[in-house]
Amino acid sequence: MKALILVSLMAFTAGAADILVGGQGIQSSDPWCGS
Amino acid sequence: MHYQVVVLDSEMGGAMEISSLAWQRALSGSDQGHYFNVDIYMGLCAGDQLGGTFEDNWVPGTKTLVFSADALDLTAGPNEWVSVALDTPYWFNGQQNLLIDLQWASANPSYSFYTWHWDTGVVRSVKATSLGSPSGILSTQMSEMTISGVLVLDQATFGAVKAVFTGAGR
Repeated sequence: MKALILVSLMAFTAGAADILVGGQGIQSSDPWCGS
Repeated sequence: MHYQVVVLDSEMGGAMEISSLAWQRALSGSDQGHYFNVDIYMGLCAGDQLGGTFEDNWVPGTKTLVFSADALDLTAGPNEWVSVALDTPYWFNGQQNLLIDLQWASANPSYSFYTWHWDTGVVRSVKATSLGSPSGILSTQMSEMTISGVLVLDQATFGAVKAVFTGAGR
Protein backbone atom coordinates (compact mmCIF):
# COMPACT_ATOMS: atom_id res chain seq x y z
CA MET A 1 0.00 0.00 0.00
CA LYS A 2 2.82 2.36 0.95
CA ALA A 3 4.60 1.64 -2.34
CA LEU A 4 1.41 2.22 -4.29
CA ILE A 5 0.90 5.63 -2.72
CA LEU A 6 4.53 6.59 -3.35
CA VAL A 7 4.18 5.65 -7.01
CA SER A 8 1.03 7.74 -7.17
CA LEU A 9 2.85 10.73 -5.67
CA MET A 10 5.63 10.35 -8.21
CA ALA A 11 3.07 10.38 -11.01
CA PHE A 12 1.85 13.76 -9.80
CA THR A 13 5.27 15.41 -9.87
CA ALA A 14 4.74 16.33 -13.51
CA GLY A 15 1.65 17.32 -15.40
CA ALA A 16 0.33 19.28 -18.32
CA ALA A 17 -0.03 22.96 -17.60
CA ASP A 18 -1.15 26.13 -19.32
CA ILE A 19 0.51 29.24 -17.94
CA LEU A 20 -1.41 32.43 -18.69
CA VAL A 21 0.87 35.44 -18.85
CA GLY A 22 -0.89 38.80 -18.68
CA GLY A 23 -4.36 39.54 -19.91
CA GLN A 24 -6.49 41.64 -22.17
CA GLY A 25 -6.40 45.40 -22.05
CA ILE A 26 -4.63 46.75 -25.09
CA GLN A 27 -5.12 45.76 -28.69
CA SER A 28 -1.81 45.51 -30.50
CA SER A 29 -1.25 48.32 -32.95
CA ASP A 30 0.86 46.08 -35.17
CA PRO A 31 -0.17 42.65 -36.40
CA TRP A 32 0.45 39.60 -34.22
CA CYS A 33 2.97 40.42 -31.53
CA GLY A 34 4.24 43.95 -32.05
CA SER A 35 2.95 46.45 -29.53
CA MET B 1 9.78 42.15 -37.41
CA HIS B 2 11.81 41.27 -34.36
CA TYR B 3 9.95 41.05 -31.05
CA GLN B 4 11.30 39.97 -27.70
CA VAL B 5 9.51 39.58 -24.37
CA VAL B 6 10.59 38.44 -20.93
CA VAL B 7 8.39 36.19 -18.79
CA LEU B 8 9.28 36.21 -15.10
CA ASP B 9 10.14 32.98 -13.33
CA SER B 10 7.46 33.84 -10.76
CA GLU B 11 4.88 33.82 -13.55
CA MET B 12 6.06 30.44 -14.82
CA GLY B 13 5.72 28.73 -11.45
CA GLY B 14 8.61 26.31 -11.85
CA ALA B 15 10.50 24.19 -14.32
CA MET B 16 8.59 23.28 -17.45
CA GLU B 17 9.04 21.54 -20.76
CA ILE B 18 7.39 24.07 -23.06
CA SER B 19 5.69 22.63 -26.12
CA SER B 20 3.54 25.46 -27.46
CA LEU B 21 2.77 29.16 -27.32
CA ALA B 22 -0.61 30.78 -27.85
CA TRP B 23 -1.88 34.30 -28.41
CA GLN B 24 -5.39 35.68 -28.05
CA ARG B 25 -6.77 37.59 -30.98
CA ALA B 26 -8.19 41.02 -30.20
CA LEU B 27 -11.53 42.30 -31.44
CA SER B 28 -10.49 44.31 -34.46
CA GLY B 29 -8.52 43.48 -37.57
CA SER B 30 -8.50 40.32 -39.66
CA ASP B 31 -9.38 36.79 -38.64
CA GLN B 32 -6.13 35.57 -40.16
CA GLY B 33 -2.51 36.52 -40.59
CA HIS B 34 0.18 35.10 -42.85
CA TYR B 35 3.85 35.38 -41.94
CA PHE B 36 6.97 34.26 -43.77
CA ASN B 37 10.37 33.00 -42.65
CA VAL B 38 9.32 32.80 -39.04
CA ASP B 39 11.76 31.85 -36.29
CA ILE B 40 11.05 31.58 -32.57
CA TYR B 41 13.86 31.37 -30.03
CA MET B 42 13.70 30.72 -26.30
CA GLY B 43 16.31 31.09 -23.62
CA LEU B 44 17.02 32.67 -20.29
CA CYS B 45 17.17 36.30 -19.22
CA ALA B 46 18.98 37.48 -16.12
CA GLY B 47 16.97 40.66 -15.60
CA ASP B 48 13.32 41.39 -14.92
CA GLN B 49 13.44 44.14 -17.55
CA LEU B 50 14.86 44.22 -21.05
CA GLY B 51 17.48 46.39 -22.66
CA GLY B 52 17.28 47.76 -26.17
CA THR B 53 19.88 45.47 -27.75
CA PHE B 54 18.34 42.09 -28.50
CA GLU B 55 21.44 39.93 -28.11
CA ASP B 56 22.36 41.48 -24.77
CA ASN B 57 19.14 40.22 -23.17
CA TRP B 58 20.13 36.54 -23.41
CA VAL B 59 21.98 34.72 -20.71
CA PRO B 60 25.00 33.67 -22.82
CA GLY B 61 24.66 30.22 -24.34
CA THR B 62 20.93 29.82 -23.70
CA LYS B 63 19.45 31.13 -26.97
CA THR B 64 17.71 28.13 -28.59
CA LEU B 65 15.78 27.88 -31.85
CA VAL B 66 12.47 26.18 -31.04
CA PHE B 67 10.40 26.92 -34.15
CA SER B 68 11.20 27.70 -37.75
CA ALA B 69 8.90 27.82 -40.75
CA ASP B 70 8.92 29.26 -44.24
CA ALA B 71 5.30 30.25 -43.73
CA LEU B 72 3.03 30.48 -40.71
CA ASP B 73 -0.72 30.97 -40.99
CA LEU B 74 -2.63 32.16 -37.93
CA THR B 75 -6.42 32.01 -37.82
CA ALA B 76 -8.78 32.98 -35.01
CA GLY B 77 -12.06 34.75 -34.40
CA PRO B 78 -12.36 37.69 -31.99
CA ASN B 79 -11.04 36.74 -28.53
CA GLU B 80 -10.13 33.24 -29.72
CA TRP B 81 -6.72 31.77 -29.04
CA VAL B 82 -4.30 30.61 -31.71
CA SER B 83 -1.52 28.23 -30.79
CA VAL B 84 1.86 27.52 -32.35
CA ALA B 85 3.38 24.13 -31.56
CA LEU B 86 7.14 24.24 -31.18
CA ASP B 87 9.30 22.08 -33.42
CA THR B 88 11.49 21.32 -30.44
CA PRO B 89 10.16 21.50 -26.86
CA TYR B 90 12.14 23.90 -24.71
CA TRP B 91 13.29 22.89 -21.25
CA PHE B 92 12.83 25.90 -18.96
CA ASN B 93 14.75 25.41 -15.72
CA GLY B 94 12.51 27.57 -13.53
CA GLN B 95 15.51 29.34 -12.01
CA GLN B 96 15.69 32.45 -14.18
CA ASN B 97 13.37 34.46 -16.38
CA LEU B 98 12.25 33.13 -19.75
CA LEU B 99 13.12 35.13 -22.86
CA ILE B 100 10.94 34.61 -25.94
CA ASP B 101 12.16 35.99 -29.25
CA LEU B 102 10.00 36.06 -32.38
CA GLN B 103 11.27 37.01 -35.80
CA TRP B 104 9.65 37.08 -39.19
CA ALA B 105 10.90 38.49 -42.45
CA SER B 106 7.60 39.59 -43.94
CA ALA B 107 3.85 39.28 -43.68
CA ASN B 108 0.96 39.39 -46.12
CA PRO B 109 -0.10 43.06 -45.92
CA SER B 110 -3.69 42.23 -46.83
CA TYR B 111 -4.31 40.94 -43.32
CA SER B 112 -3.89 42.52 -39.89
CA PHE B 113 -4.01 39.93 -37.15
CA TYR B 114 -4.17 41.87 -33.89
CA THR B 115 -3.69 40.28 -30.48
CA TRP B 116 -4.26 41.35 -26.90
CA HIS B 117 -1.48 43.04 -24.98
CA TRP B 118 -1.23 44.24 -21.41
CA ASP B 119 0.78 46.88 -19.61
CA THR B 120 3.33 45.33 -17.25
CA GLY B 121 4.44 48.67 -15.76
CA VAL B 122 8.10 48.00 -16.56
CA VAL B 123 10.06 47.43 -19.77
CA ARG B 124 9.37 43.84 -20.80
CA SER B 125 9.33 43.96 -24.60
CA VAL B 126 11.54 45.15 -27.41
CA LYS B 127 10.41 45.56 -31.00
CA ALA B 128 12.14 46.37 -34.25
CA THR B 129 10.26 46.49 -37.54
CA SER B 130 13.52 45.81 -39.40
CA LEU B 131 14.58 42.22 -38.82
CA GLY B 132 18.27 43.01 -39.13
CA SER B 133 18.29 45.79 -36.58
CA PRO B 134 20.43 44.91 -33.53
CA SER B 135 18.26 47.02 -31.24
CA GLY B 136 14.63 47.98 -30.93
CA ILE B 137 12.04 50.12 -29.22
CA LEU B 138 11.44 49.41 -25.55
CA SER B 139 7.91 49.08 -24.23
CA THR B 140 6.13 48.33 -20.97
CA GLN B 141 3.45 46.55 -22.99
CA MET B 142 3.78 42.93 -24.03
CA SER B 143 1.70 40.18 -25.57
CA GLU B 144 -0.78 38.24 -23.53
CA MET B 145 0.29 34.62 -23.99
CA THR B 146 -0.44 31.13 -22.85
CA ILE B 147 2.63 28.96 -22.42
CA SER B 148 1.80 25.26 -22.49
CA GLY B 149 3.77 22.17 -21.65
CA VAL B 150 4.61 19.84 -18.80
CA LEU B 151 5.17 21.57 -15.47
CA VAL B 152 7.55 19.75 -13.15
CA LEU B 153 7.46 20.19 -9.39
CA ASP B 154 10.88 20.81 -7.93
CA GLN B 155 12.75 18.06 -6.14
CA ALA B 156 12.42 19.73 -2.75
CA THR B 157 8.66 19.60 -3.01
CA PHE B 158 8.59 15.91 -3.82
CA GLY B 159 11.29 15.18 -1.29
CA ALA B 160 9.33 16.94 1.40
CA VAL B 161 6.18 15.02 0.54
CA LYS B 162 8.05 11.71 0.57
CA ALA B 163 9.69 12.51 3.90
CA VAL B 164 6.35 13.34 5.46
CA PHE B 165 4.82 10.14 4.15
CA THR B 166 7.74 7.97 5.23
CA GLY B 167 7.61 9.45 8.70
CA ALA B 168 3.86 9.00 8.98
CA GLY B 169 4.09 5.33 7.98
CA ARG B 170 6.30 4.34 10.87
